[in-house]
Amino acid sequence: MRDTSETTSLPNQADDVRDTPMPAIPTEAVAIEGARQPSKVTAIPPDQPAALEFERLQLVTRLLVGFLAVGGDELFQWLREFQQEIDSNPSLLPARRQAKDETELELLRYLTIGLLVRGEKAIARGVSRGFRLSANATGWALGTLNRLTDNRLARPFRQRVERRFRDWEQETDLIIREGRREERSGRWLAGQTVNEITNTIMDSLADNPALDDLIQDMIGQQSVGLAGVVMDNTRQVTTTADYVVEGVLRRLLRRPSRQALPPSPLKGKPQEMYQYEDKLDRTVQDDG
Amino acid sequence: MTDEQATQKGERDLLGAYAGFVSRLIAFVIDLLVVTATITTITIVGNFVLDALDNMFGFIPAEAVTSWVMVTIISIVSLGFYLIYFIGLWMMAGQTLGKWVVGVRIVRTNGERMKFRTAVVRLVGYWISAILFLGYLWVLVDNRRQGLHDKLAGTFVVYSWPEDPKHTEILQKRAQRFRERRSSRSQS
Repeated sequence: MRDTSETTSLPNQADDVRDTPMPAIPTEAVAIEGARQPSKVTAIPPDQPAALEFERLQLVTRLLVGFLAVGGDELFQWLREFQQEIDSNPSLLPARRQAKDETELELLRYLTIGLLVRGEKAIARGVSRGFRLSANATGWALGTLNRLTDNRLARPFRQRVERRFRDWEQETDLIIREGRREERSGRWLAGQTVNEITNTIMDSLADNPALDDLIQDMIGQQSVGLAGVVMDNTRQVTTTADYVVEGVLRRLLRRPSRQALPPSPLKGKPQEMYQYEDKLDRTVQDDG
Repeated sequence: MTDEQATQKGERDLLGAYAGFVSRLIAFVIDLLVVTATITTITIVGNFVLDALDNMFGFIPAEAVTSWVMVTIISIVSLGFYLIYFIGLWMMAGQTLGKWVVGVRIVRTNGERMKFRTAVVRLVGYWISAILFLGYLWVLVDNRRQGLHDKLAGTFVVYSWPEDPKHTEILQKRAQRFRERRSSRSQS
């Protein structure tokens, strides 16, 4: 998960906003100077259900924007890393099949994929060229229009058009700023939401008695280790099952219970016959 | 105090006692998993290596020959692994991986370690015991908890681990905490 410190340290964000738990959004804190204040998520009286619904919708939208932005960045980063890995080590790719084994359907599929990739490149080139041409044409048209309308007769019309253009420009600028601010708020919101969810999960896990027991055991017996505990548990369970199963079966078959039988001759003794080190030591000592 | 009562109280002395059916069954299942997984891996790797050799040098001419060579090599390697796993580990440590996990060990009835001949007889006995599983089930009723293969080879299986008093203490503490929590919940 992306570190949320980047989003929480926005230059215009107030500290109190950072410390406020969800769902406080730094909407007012990131206000844009000189721009008309966009839709705010402010305190809405509870007697306005429609406004409340709108606020919810706005929050959810903002959260979705945040998740998409953060998730998109992460996904893009992963994809880039995977691609770099493949570029540096092409053997990671699955082995290519022999050309003679390929069916016509597979060939058709490869052709489609090839065309798609080539088409993508062609479209990207076309769009780039289109933008360049469009910019040139617009520049030429505006220059011509400017020269044609720069006279006393056309000036009133020109001024009105220019004013409208300025309004559009301002409106566009405002929308872009609002979008930018919304994305930053959304990122912040997504980060805080993930943190909150993680904390909630951690809290619920910490409240879980079974997990608490496990942690207590691990702390209480660090020398034993988790693997040792698991193995000991397994052995305990299987040994108990040995006695229970055999006890039941012996009773059913009316055979004497185990305590009536002679114990193992090795009972209570370590199985030294398999200890190489001791034998080796003894041999060395004998030799010495 | 009987063994069963001692078991319930968690005060049994397991080291060297005859190992029971459930422990041995679980050990066997673990061994079976290990052997199966390894032989599967050998087969996959063998297939891959032979394919690679064939692609690189083309020294295996026909498909049928490739299959034949592959099956032979993989069978030999798998059989080798099977024999080393059981016979080798029995001779070296008296236990396989599964037996180590559940904490049991094979010893000869005269108290000595497993020898090659004993191990081979015991392994052959495994297959004889597998007939209707009667040889394995005999562990349940035998006084020394011996299966048919144990009787053939002159071995028995014992627990190789002493019960850890620290572990028993932990279990008791855990039970105590559980009782306390339950009583506090019922009161609230």
